[in-house]
Amino acid sequence: MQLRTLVWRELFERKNQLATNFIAILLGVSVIVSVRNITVYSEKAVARELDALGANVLILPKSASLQTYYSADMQTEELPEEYVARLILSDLQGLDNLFPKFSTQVSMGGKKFTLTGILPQDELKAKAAWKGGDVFARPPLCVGDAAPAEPTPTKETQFRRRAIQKLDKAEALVGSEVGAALKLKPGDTLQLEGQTFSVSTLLPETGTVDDSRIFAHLHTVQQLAGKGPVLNAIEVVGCCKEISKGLVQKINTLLPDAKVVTITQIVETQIKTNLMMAQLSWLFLGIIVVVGGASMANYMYANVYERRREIGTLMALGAGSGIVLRIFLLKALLLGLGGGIAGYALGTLLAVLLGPRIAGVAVLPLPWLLLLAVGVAVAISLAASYFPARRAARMDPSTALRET
Amino acid sequence: MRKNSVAALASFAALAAWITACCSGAEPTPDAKPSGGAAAVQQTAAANKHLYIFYYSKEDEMTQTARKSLEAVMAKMGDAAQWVAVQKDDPAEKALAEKLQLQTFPTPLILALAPNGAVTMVGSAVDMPEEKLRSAIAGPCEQKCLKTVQDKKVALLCAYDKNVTAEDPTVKVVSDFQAANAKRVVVIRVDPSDPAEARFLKQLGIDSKSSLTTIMLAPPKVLLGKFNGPVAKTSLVEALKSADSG
Repeated sequence: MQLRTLVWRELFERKNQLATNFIAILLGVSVIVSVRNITVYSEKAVARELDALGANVLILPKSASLQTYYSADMQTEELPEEYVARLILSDLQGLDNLFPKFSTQVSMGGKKFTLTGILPQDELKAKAAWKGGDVFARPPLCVGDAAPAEPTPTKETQFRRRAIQKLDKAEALVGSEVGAALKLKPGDTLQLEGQTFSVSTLLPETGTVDDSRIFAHLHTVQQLAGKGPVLNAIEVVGCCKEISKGLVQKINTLLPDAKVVTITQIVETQIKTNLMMAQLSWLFLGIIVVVGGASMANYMYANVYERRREIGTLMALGAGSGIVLRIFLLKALLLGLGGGIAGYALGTLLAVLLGPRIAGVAVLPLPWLLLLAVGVAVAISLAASYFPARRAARMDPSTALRET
Repeated sequence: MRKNSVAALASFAALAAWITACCSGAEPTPDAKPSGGAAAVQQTAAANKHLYIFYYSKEDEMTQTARKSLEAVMAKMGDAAQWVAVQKDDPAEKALAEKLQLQTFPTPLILALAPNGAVTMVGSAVDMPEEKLRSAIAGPCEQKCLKTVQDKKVALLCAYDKNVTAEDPTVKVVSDFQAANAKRVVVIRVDPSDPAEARFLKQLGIDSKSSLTTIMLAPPKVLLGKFNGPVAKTSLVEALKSADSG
C-alpha cells in the first residue's frame, strides 16, 4: 500500500472532524486575505490621491456627512453657488483653482449614471477679473524677455489638476467606466434628459468615483436637474501646502455656514482606517494561529489516540516511525493546502465584493496573497500536527496492540 | 353669394393671422418698457456715464446700511455716474441678472458698468471703500480694453504719440497682424500723453512721454507682452501663442 493511499484514507476516516478543521482554516485564512486585500488597495488609493492632489480643501454643506473624499458630493445637501463668488472676491491667498460641483442622476439606455456639473476656469477667472484694481495677472514682459511658450495641457491633464480651462454648455467629459459601458469615443453625441451633449474627452482611469461619471457645464446640469444656482461641493486646489494649512480657518470665517475639510484630514482618517485594518489582519492571524492551531492539534492528538491500534498494526507490519510521521504530517499538509487555497478564493471574493462598500475603492485579486494564504494555513497545520505526529511515530506497537 | 364668400374668407384669414400673432411669442411692442435695471443700463450708455448696480436680496439692516453708503458716495460723484438698485427676486430684472450672472454673486453686491458695457468692478457692498468705488470709473481706452478681453478677444493697445503716423513700420506691422487675426485681435490706439488715460497707462507701466509702446492684453485680464519701440510681427505672434497656453 502506498503512502499516498494511506494518507488519503487517513484524511477521510473522520469526515466530521476533517470538515470542522477545514472550515476553521478556510474561514481564518479568508478573513486575513480579504482584510489584507482591501487594505492594500485602500493604501494605494490614499497614496495616489496624495500624489495627485497635494494640498486640497473640500467645502461641503454644513449638514453633509463625510464618507469618502470623492463620493462626498453625492449627498443631497446643497450649497449656494454664490459661495464661489465669495471665495473669488475675497483676498484669500492660495485659492488657485476652484472646482465647484453639482451632481444629479440621469438615465441612459436603461442604466443610471451620475452627471456632474463643473465650471470651466475661464469663467471663474473672468469673474475674478471683474474685481477691479490691478489690471495684470502677470508682470509686464519687455522685448526679448518673452517667456517660453508652454504646450497647452490636454483636457485629461486639466481635469486631473481640477482646472478645466474651457467647457461649452453642450460639451461632456466622460469617465472611463462610462465610456467603456456606452462604447463612447470623442466626437460622439450623448442624449441625457433631452439634452444633446458632444463628447469631447474620454477621461483616463483614475480608480475613483470620477470613472463612473459624466462631466458637463455646471449651469447646464443645474438646468437639467431643475435647480437654481446650487452646488453639492467645492474642491479647492491650494497653491502650496503652507498656505493650505491656514486656509481652512480663513475659509471657515468667510463661509461660516459651510463645512470645510482638508484632504489631509480626510486622508488621515483613511490612513487611520488602513492602519486599523492592517493591525486587525495581524490580530486575526494571531487568533487563527492560536485557535486554529489548538483546534488542529487537538484533532491530531485525538486522531492519534483513536487510531493507536491501526498505528500499532502498521508498525508491526514493518512501517517505520518515519513513515508514520510522514503520514500525519502529509495529512496536515494537505489540509493546510486545501484550506489555504479555498481560503484565498473566498477571501478574494469577499474583498472584491465588499471592498468598494467598506473602503470606497475598487479591489482586484492579488495573486501574491495566495502564497500568504497557503503559507499561513500550511504552517499552522504542520506546526499543530508535529507533536501529535511525533507521538504517533514513537508509539510502541506492542503497547498499542495490547490497549484494545 | 360670391362676394359674401370672399368676405368670409378674408375675415377668417384675418382671425387666423391674429391668433398666430398672439401665440408666436412675438417681440414686445415698442410701448413695452425695459426693467429699471435694464433701462438704467441703456440710459447711462447713451449718456456716456458709468452705472453702479446695487444688487440685493432682502431689505435687511446690512443692505440698508450698504445702500446708504453708496448713496453718499454717489452724491459726491456728481454726473460722472449713476446708480440703480436691482432686487434679486424681481422677475422684471431676471434678464439683466442672467446677462451679468448676478444670481451667482453674494448680496448685497455692487457691480460697476462702463458706458460700453464692460464690467469695471464688482464687490461686496458691505463696507466698500469710496476709493474702490471711484476706481471703477474707467477712461475710454481702459473701457475698450476691458470690453475686448471680456468679449474673450485680445486687445493690442498701441500707445503711440501724435508723431507716429500710418506710414510707421510698427503701425504697418500691427495693422497686418490685426488683419491676419481679425476675429480675435482688436487694435486700440491711445495717446500716452492723454491725461484721461494717465491712471490706466501708469498701471500698464507706460510713461506719458513714451512715443511707441505696444501692449498685448488677453482674457481674463492678462498682459501677454509689452514691446517698447518698434515691434516685429514674430514677437506679436509669439505673444499671441502664449495666450493659448493659459
